[in-house]
This record gives sequence, C-alpha cells and structure tokens, in this order.
Amino acid sequence: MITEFLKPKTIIEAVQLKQATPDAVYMAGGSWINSSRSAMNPETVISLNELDLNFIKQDQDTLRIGAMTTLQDILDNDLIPDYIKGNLKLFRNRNIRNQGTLAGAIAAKNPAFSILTVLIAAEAQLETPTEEISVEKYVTSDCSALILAIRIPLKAAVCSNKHSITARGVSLVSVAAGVFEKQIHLVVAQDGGKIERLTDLEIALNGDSLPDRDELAEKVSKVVASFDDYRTSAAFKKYIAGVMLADCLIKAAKGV
Amino acid sequence: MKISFTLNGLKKTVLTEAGENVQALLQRLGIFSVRDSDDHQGFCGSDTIIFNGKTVNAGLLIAAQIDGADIKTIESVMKDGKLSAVQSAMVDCGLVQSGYNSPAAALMLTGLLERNPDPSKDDIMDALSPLFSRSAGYQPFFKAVDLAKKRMKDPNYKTEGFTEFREDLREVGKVRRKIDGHQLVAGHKAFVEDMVEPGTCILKMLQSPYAHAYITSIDTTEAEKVPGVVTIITHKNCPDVYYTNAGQGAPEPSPHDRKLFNQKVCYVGDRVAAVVAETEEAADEALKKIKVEYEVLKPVFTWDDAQAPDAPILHKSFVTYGVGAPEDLDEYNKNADPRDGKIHYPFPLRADPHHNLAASVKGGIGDVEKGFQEADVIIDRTFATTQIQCTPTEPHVVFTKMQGDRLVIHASTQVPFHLRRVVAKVLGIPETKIHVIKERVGGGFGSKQDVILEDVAAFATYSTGRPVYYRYTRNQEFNTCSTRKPMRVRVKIGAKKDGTFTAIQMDNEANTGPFGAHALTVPMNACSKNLPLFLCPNMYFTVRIYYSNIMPTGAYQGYGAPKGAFALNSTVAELAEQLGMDQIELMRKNMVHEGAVLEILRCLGEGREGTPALVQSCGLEKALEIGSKMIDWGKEEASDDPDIKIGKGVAIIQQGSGLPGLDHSNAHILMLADGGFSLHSGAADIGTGLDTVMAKVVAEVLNVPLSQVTVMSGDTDHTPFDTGAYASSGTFFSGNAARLAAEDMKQKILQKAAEYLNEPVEDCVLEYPAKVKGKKGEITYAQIAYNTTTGHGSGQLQGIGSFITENHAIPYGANFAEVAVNTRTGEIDVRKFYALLDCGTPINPELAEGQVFGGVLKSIGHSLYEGIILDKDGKPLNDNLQDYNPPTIYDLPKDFQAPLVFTKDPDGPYGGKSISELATNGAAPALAIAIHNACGVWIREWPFTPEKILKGLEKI
Repeated sequence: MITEFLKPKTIIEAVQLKQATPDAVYMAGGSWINSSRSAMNPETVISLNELDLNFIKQDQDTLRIGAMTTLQDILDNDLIPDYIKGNLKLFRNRNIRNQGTLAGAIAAKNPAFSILTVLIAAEAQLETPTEEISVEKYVTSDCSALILAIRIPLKAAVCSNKHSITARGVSLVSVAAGVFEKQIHLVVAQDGGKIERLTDLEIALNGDSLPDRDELAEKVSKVVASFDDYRTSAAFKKYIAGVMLADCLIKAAKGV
Repeated sequence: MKISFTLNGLKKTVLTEAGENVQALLQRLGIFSVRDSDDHQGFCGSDTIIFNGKTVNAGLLIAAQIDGADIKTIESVMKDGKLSAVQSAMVDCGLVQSGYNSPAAALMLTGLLERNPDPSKDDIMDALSPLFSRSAGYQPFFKAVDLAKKRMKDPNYKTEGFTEFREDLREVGKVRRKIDGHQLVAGHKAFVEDMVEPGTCILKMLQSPYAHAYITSIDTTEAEKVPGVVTIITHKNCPDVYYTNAGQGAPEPSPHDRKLFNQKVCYVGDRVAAVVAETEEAADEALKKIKVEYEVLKPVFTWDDAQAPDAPILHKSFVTYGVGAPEDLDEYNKNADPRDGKIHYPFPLRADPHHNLAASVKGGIGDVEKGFQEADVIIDRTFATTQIQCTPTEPHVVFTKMQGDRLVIHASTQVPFHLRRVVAKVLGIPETKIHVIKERVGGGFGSKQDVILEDVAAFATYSTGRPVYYRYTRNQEFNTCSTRKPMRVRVKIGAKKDGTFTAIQMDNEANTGPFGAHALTVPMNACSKNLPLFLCPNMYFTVRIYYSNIMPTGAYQGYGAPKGAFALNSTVAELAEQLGMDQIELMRKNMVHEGAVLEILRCLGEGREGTPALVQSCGLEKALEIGSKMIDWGKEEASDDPDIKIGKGVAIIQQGSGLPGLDHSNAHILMLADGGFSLHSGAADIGTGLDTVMAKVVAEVLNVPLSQVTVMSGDTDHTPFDTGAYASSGTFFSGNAARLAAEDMKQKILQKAAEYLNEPVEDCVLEYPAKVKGKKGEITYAQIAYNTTTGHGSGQLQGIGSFITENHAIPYGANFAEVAVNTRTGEIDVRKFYALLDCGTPINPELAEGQVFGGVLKSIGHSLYEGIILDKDGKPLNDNLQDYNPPTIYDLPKDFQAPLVFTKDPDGPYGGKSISELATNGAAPALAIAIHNACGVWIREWPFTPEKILKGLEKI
C-alpha cells in the first residue's frame, strides 16, 4: 500500500526526491499504478500533479504534449493528428482516458498499449530532465527517467491497427507504420512479448516501390518472431501482424 | 494523513492513509452507490465518480490524489429525492435490472449530456465505454438518452418507443416503472454489502494451489494466535455432513458429494481453510501462517481423460442412496477410499463415481435405428462448447449474524428457500432457526442459484456467534465459483429427400468439474429444450456427465439449452445444404406447432418420469415470418470489399417456463387499511422485474392502480415458500401464485362487499379503481378495509395462492444473424442480429426487451469471445474480466433488434411465459450458420475466433 505521497513543486525537486528514494515511482494520473492489474504496489509515489506539465503546444512542425496531459484531453484537442486520435479512441475507455496520461502509458512500457507503436512509428521523442530520448529507446530499454513532455513530429504519415478479442479488449498484436521523409518505420508489439522495430525489413523496403499487399504481408510475417499463448497461436500472430502492417504501410505511404 | 475535498457540494475533511482506495473511502463515508466489480481494474465502471468534472474510476484513485478535489457521485444529481431525467429514462427504458452499476451508468450519461446536449450514437457509446453490464445488453441506452434529452426539457415527457400489449388490460403488457427501479438507480442501500453492520468479522479463504491432492496435514496453531483471529475452519472441524450446493428442489437430482471442507482438494482454488477475523489484515496474516502439506495427485481435466481406463478418480467415495440403491452397493463400496469421503444419492442418477461418471441418462421415442434405415440422407456432426463465467457485476457475497438463537443470512441469492434448507442441513438445525433475507441481487444469471459461500459464512457465525461478511473478489469469481458446464454434443439426423425427418439422435457429454451440482439436469436440458422443437417420430438421446478437476460448474442462464441449440440448429442447416433445401423450409417442414403433443418429454423429466406436453401457444411460425422479412432471408448480400463476405443465419429456439410437476410457488396477499394491497411472495426477483410482474398481475385482478400494490418477496420469515428464480419459472409460477392469491382476495372482497351492501354476491363486481359495485350501491376497498379491521369487523382480508401444474407454457423464438467475415483477417463483424421471441404476453415489455438484448449479447460473447482457459496444472489463465473478454457496448451488433412476438398462453398469468433464458439460446447457431453462409467455413467449437476462420480458409 502507498504510505507516502510526495508532492514536489518543481522538476528539480521531483528528481531529487527520486534520487533520495530510489524505490519511489513517479505518478501522473495513477490509472496504471493504482490498478491491481499492474501489481506495482509501491510504498512511495512522487506525484507530478503540481508540476506545470499539462499542456499541448504546436512548435512549428512538432507537437509538444506535457506529461500530465490526459489521454482524453489529447483526444479532444484539435492540434492532435487523426492517426493519434484514431488509436487513442480505442484505448480502454473514457474513464481511464480521463485519468491516464500519455506519459504514464509510455512509462508503463506495456506492449498491450498500442499507442506506443504509433509513437515509435512517428519518431516521437521524450523530454526528460537530462536528455531527449526517443520513445523507442525509452520503452525498449530500462530507462526510467522522468518524462516531462512528448514531442511528436507532425510531418509523419502514420497508420496503426491492432488485434484484440473484443473491440476494446487487450491489444494482443499492435502494429504501426510510419512514413517520414520517405523513410519507413515499422513497429510491432505483442502482449506478453515485446515492442520492436522491424529495422531489417525497413532497410530492405526503403528506397524501392512497395510490393503488393500480400507479398508485403508475407515479408512482415516472416520477420516477426512470436509465441503461442492461451489466446492465440504464434502462427496466427505472425500472420495477422503481417496483414495489418502491410495494410498500414500501404495507407501510410499514400499519406492516409 | 488528513485530506480535504468537496463531496457532492459539501466540504469533507477525513483522516486516511495516503494509499487508501477512493472507492473504499467513499463507502466508508456512507456513499454506497460507488461499488467495486472488478478488484479495482477499471473494467466495469461500477466505481464511477465525477472527479474535477470528469468521470473516472474511484477504484483507480488513492486518497492522496483527491486532496483538494471536487468529487461528485450519483447523490449529486438528484433533487429533493427525485430521479433526474437520465435516471428516470434509464428505469423507464428497462435498463435498471440488476442495478448494481446503474448509478454509475447514470453518472456517465449525465456527464455526456452536460458536455453534449445532442449526442450521436458514437458519443453515447464513448460515454458508456467504461461500463460493463450483462443485464440489458446496452442497446436500450440509445433509447434512454433520447428520452432523457426530452425529459430535460419536459420532465413529464412520456416513455415512448416500446410496443405495448393487451389493450384489454390496464397494467399487464404496459410500460410501467419497475417498482425497485428508483431505489436502484438512485444508489440507495439495496445490496448485501449495504447491510453489513459495524463490528462484523471478515471471512477469507485459503485456497488450494493444486487441482487434485489430499491434505495430509494442516496446522492452524500459529494462525490462531494472530490477534483478531476468531476462528479457523478446516476439514478437521467442520460438520461431517454431505450435501450438494445446487439450489434445486429437494430431493435434488444432484449427488451430495461435498462437505464444507474436504480432505481432498479437487480444483485449483478449492477450499482448504476459512479464517474468520476481526480485521482484513488479521485474516491475511493468519492465512499466511496456516501450514498445509499435500499429497499431490494427477489431475484430469477433460471428458476424454476422465473416462479413460486409467483415469485418476476424483471421488472414490463411500456411496449411499436415499432410495433405489443397487444390489451390488456393498461390493462397490469395498473400493472406497475414506479420504475421498462419501457421496449420497437421494435417488439413483445412473452414476459411477469410481469411474468419474457423475450421472447419466438415456431414452427416446419410437425406433431410432429404424428411422435412420428409412432415411435417404444421414448427417452426423459433433460440437463442443466451453466453460463460461457468469460474471455478475455484484460478486458473490453474504452477511450472516445471530439474532438471539436464530441465524440471519443476508443473501444475494436466486433461491432463498433452498438456501435455508441447505444451511439447516449443514448446521444440523431446524429451518425455524434460520432467516434468509434475499437482498437485491446484482446479477445472478444462474451462478447465484447455488450455495456458493453462504454455507461457510453461516457455519462461522453459528459456531462463533459473531457476524461474518464474506465477499468474493473478482479473481475468486473466476477461480472458485459456478460456471457453465463445457459440453460435447453429437447430433445425427436422418431425413427423406423431401426433408422429412425420420430420426434424430443426440449424444451429450458434459464436464461437471469437481462436484456434481446440476450434473444431470444441465446436459439433459440440451435435449429437453431442443428435441421438442421438431416433430420426429424417432428420437433418442444419451447424456453422460464426468467429474474432473476444472473449477466448479453449475447453472447458467439457459442451462444446457444453448449448447443443444447450437448443435441441433447447425446440423439442421448443414442437412438443408445437403438436401439442397432452404434451411427455413426444412425447419418448417418438421417443426413444432400449436396443438402438437410433445411425446419426447415423457422421457425427459428432471430426475423423475416426465409427461408429454400439449403445445398451447407457439409463436415460432410468426417469428420466422417476421424475421425472414426483416433480414431479407434468401437474398445474397455483396460487399464492396472483395475480402469481405456476407452471410446470414437463422436458428429456432425454445425454453421452458419453470419445471411443471417440480416447481411450486405460493403467495399471500393482505388488504391494507386504505384498501391497497401487500403481496407476500417467496419469489426471488434477481433484477428481472419479477416483483413488478406480480404487482401488475395483482393490480389487474383487483382493479387497482399499480401504485396500490406493494410487494415483499424472497424473505423466508415473511413470505411463503417458492422454489426460486431458476428454470425460467418466475413469471409462470410466481406470477400465477400471485394471480391465484389475488383471485382469492377478489372472492373475499366480493363476499364482504355483498354483506355490507346487503346484495347477493353474484350481483357484485369489482370496478376500477378499488371499489365494488352492486346493483343497488357501491363500496370502496378503503371502506371494506375499515369495516373488516375495526373491533367489530371480521378481520383483515387475506388471500392465498398456491401454484403447481403439469402444463407447460413453452416460450419459442427465432434468431436471425447477418455477419461480414473478413477472409483476410478472419474478423467477424455482426452486422445484424434480430431476436424474435415469443414470451406469450410480455407483462413488462420494456424489461422483457432489455432481457432479450442482455441474453443475446451474453450468448454472442460466449460464441465469439469468452471461455475459461486453464494451464496444464488447472490454474485459470484468464481469471479477470479484461483477459476473459466479455462483450462491451462496442461489441453490439450494428443493427440489433428484439421484437416481441405476441401469443397468449392459456396457462400463463394473463398469457405470460418466460423470456430471459430463452434469449441466450440462439446466438451461437445463428452466428455459426451465418459464418458458414459467408465464407464456407463450419465452426463447431466455441469460441468462433478469427484464427479458426483463417484455419478453415487454410490461410494459416
């Protein structure tokens, strides 16, 4: 049970508190930390509520989203590109989106949060107190730096999809394709598995015209590593990742 | 820490731990409407509050987060105790059924209409996306929002959009406000958890980590020393009484194969020890200090493994019989292992527990072999269904206390009288010493037909004198509750070239899990609720039920009928394809009709010899006719997308209206001092609106407005016996008992009126509202009440009604589905679903419609998404709602309609028959047939997943 709730007034203070209590966790909305599903059960949390991190700003061709901005506020904001809205609309439900933040979703590093594939495909960056780091690097490493803001380039054409059992069920397989200044980004995440960029395939596809959707799907399926679990087989997940990502890439390439 | 916040406009300052869960904190502050359905995982939305202007889950907040915040709950939207426009619209559109999270839904919609006064369908779905509800299938919410919008402008705007029935009647068949609707949607105290008193002890259970093991030693010494621990119950100190937890009429057609605690554990999650403590923390600490040693045995999980020659045996028990013991019983018992305890059969169930056979039965009519010989075409198919969780939003819960030398049980149960009988047996005390109070039930769906946790809490209270509260977590709902039995059904049909059926055979195998609750009757229902759909002279069935080490199974809405309907309808559709006939044409050629006599029911009595049934009302033809037009049956639909294939399917279904010859309902009615009436019925309204059914029937008989009737039900001290809410008995049995009580009252009113008017009784008639008119004069009920209850009067007028019958009032229906199958992804999109059900006279039309939507959506979930999955050791892998995947509002069919097909059954109260179970029977076959029609793939196992479609299409 959480017994200590620290409320720093500044970012420096927040970082110092974390250094002083390494087991403490940063809390934005708390929808994941407080859920019995997360099984985090920290004793000390460092609330970000009193930091001035609730904003959405456009800075030329980049969008900056403060760490305390809720998912629903992002969804309701006119500055947000449709590809992000389309994905966030499928994120759990309105109550969770009213409480949860994008920074929290990133910090949870949960492959079932399909928005992560979108952010990686869009080459989104994170502002932390000490450095700027890509979302990809953050979620695929053990980095636990305090996220201050998310920077999303607006020039990317991104398309995403997910497979879940019910419409709002856990995303078992999430995919996103981004086309950014003619560079292709392909991302796959599997619940119970990992979030990964298909970099070899990206390199193979960059610079050439895209193959047809079935060939593309087959190429993706071949490079995606998967596993059987109680819900689906590895063969299904590889197949569906291929089909979904091929369709996404073709759409993204068309700038849809 | 001390926190301050605004709660419904009032400043609050409370002392709390930083990490106290806000849902629990609000309950502590007396806000009962904010409830927990999901162990604080944000799935059900029962814990919805408005936090700084936005809806969130209180269960996902900690106290420190609400310091300085503005918190609103449902209590904030009501003015002067009156329902808001949203609340009243929800009740009037039939949405407030079990009602456990109705206040939460009302808050979500209130927030929606505040930010968007004219929301679209998408907006409504988004607003309700946090809600999980099984009762009314979400669909009526769209109507309710429309009504709420109108009521916000005109508070008196009348309910619209529902068909009413029986112009000749005032209350029956009309849309009226459900009599407990206000209480539930307002979030008033209504459920067991609201009744718990200060100082009540907590009960927590140590559960088995093994699927199959003997407890070789158990040491509770250290646990008992934990301060605050009151008692610890194990197999060593519990009563040596064997019983079944199935809430069925006695003698039950289920083996008495369990004690409160057994030395042998038979599933992961089985009871090992109960700790009763003064605090949750003490109980948790004690649980950790109980030392248990096990001799682990090989488990068995499937029917095939259970019947294998070398299968591990769950119950190598000492067997006894009430009647009909076999001659070789002594020889049989020589193989018993004392550690496996005993099994008592009240009467023979053709069981062989030493070979894992819990029960069996077979029978038929005509000569099925001859029938197959005469056939031009024979089709033989096998189907399988999965273990399904009932998922009521209110978990299983009980509060027990002593009142003098009597035990009081506040229960969330479908069977208050069976509960009293079972607990009396376990405790070895007379029923007079037990008072069961059925509180409002936050969803039962069959799982609350059984004595799941009341037995152990009752024993704890009775043996210690202490009040005890025991509430399942959602996790326990998944690992130690009652579930739908998995079944394998083989159907073989023989037919002539013209489609005439010559023989039908149905072979059923079921997996009952560790205990035999409903073992015989659930799979029998696959036959008894499906074979009579067709008039075939030669029918034969077999039923075999096996013990295994999966979690317990029992009753679930529809009982065995949905599985039989899936198998039989799918096979008929395949047969139609082989014969080159239209499926509906083939069904029409063979199906039941009004006036038919169902001979097959002679051999399908539940634990007794059955009787043939005369079909006195049957809306099947009408349902097929209307549904065919709605879905444009026979027309091939094309998609613009070459990957998408569209198909249509249909299934015909039936259920029962209680169990003729077995069920029994009673009612008692009193005339009140102002001429109103108080009905006392043993019936258990579990949210379906049964109390309203009975009130309407009484009002109709006695010519009074509905407001002049109050209902007390489901209380074993204050109401007469009723078998309870199962087998779709409520409207037919309890409704008829209420009718008979009212008719008895009517005769007494007429006699008294004749006496006071000094006219012959034959000249007197009841007149609306609440008076008797003679040829010369008239007298009001209020005057009669005054006259009879003065010191010179003859005493308060009382009527009694007792209903038993051998007649069946069978509800029928047809389900039509249209699906779009994406042949590239395997995705199934349910574009249209039309459920046309004949419940006779729909007494509560808006509630009946909601129950159809709820039942169908559940069944769509069972067919497409759900099913408990165990790991190799028997531990459930999807033991929470998010991983279990029941449908939410986003899984509704795009076009979802439930027209009620009117018939008038001569035996039903004002022609009424049952409805809610029937609604679960048709989705699986209608969808399976539509999928095949779309893409050519037959799926014969639940769930119908994209992966199975793709395999069928040889894509993977």
